[in-house]
Amino acid sequence: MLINTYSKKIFNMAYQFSGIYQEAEDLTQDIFAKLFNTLSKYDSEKNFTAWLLTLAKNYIIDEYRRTKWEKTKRDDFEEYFLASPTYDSPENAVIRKESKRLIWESLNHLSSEIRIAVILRDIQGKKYEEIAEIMSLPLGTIKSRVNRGRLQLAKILKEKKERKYDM
Amino acid sequence: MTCEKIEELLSPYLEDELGSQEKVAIENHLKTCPNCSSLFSCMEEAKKSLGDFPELEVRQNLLKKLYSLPGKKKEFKISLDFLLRPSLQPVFAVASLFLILFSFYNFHPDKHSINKSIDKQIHLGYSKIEKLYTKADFYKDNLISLKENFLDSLQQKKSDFLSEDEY
Repeated sequence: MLINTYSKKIFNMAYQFSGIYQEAEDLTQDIFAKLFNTLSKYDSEKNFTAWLLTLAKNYIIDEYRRTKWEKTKRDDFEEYFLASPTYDSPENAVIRKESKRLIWESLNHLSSEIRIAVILRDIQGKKYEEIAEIMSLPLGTIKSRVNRGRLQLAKILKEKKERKYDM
Repeated sequence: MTCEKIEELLSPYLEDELGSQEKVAIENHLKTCPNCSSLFSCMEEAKKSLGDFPELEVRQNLLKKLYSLPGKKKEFKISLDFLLRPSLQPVFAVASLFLILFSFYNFHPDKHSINKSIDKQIHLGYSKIEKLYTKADFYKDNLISLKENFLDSLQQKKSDFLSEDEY
């Protein structure tokens, strides 16, 4: 039941954060092992999904800090994102694919706390209130982190595009 | 407004979270500043790209591993807990000692002589205890006679003293 309901959420969170498929599978296993060991500590009055995502977020960030993933490369963009939405023209499709590839690679330039906030807000589409509950932080801090993350990504994208046109 | 201030407000502007005054100020700035305008389009593009990342399905192989997690963990934990519980260590030590002595006695080739020596030791111990009891009785009688003698001598002294006074 727990595995059916939450494995996809946890796996995608781990993959979007780490960018490495195998790493995300290992993290998912570790998070579920931790969940089964700490399930007795869950307070039934709290929101279970938020509690589980907090546990997952903490584990992912702790592992990231321990293993220094920032030094490793993310998986090639095309490998797992071929099933993307269709575009109105082939030219637009090429441009959007290139932007998505750049953004995917740029996620590793964000610090762990900012990256997870951007993932929860812009990839998973969660509300700011939900993210604040998952990250156990005030709403203002979450908004500030998302804003900073978006600005960093926009600057990286702009710089890469300008460099490309200069060439 | 300066470009730096505009940069900070681009993300809230993108989410339509600003008041009308700030909104107008940003719109006016974006019309006249190509740098900020380009940055804003990159931010829009980044946000759109992040939102387009598909949610990946979990592989069957990973699901199988996750389903095998709880039982494995539980079994391992129970057996370890039972063996490593510190309060049971003295019990294990006494049980091991008892088993060593029992096997030594039970499998010794000259079991009869051990039985005899145990009997002998028990009888010796028993006779020693009897002797101690006899000695104790003897000392008790002695003490009683001593007490009587002492009381008699006291009585005698008292009567002598009284007769001297009469004279």
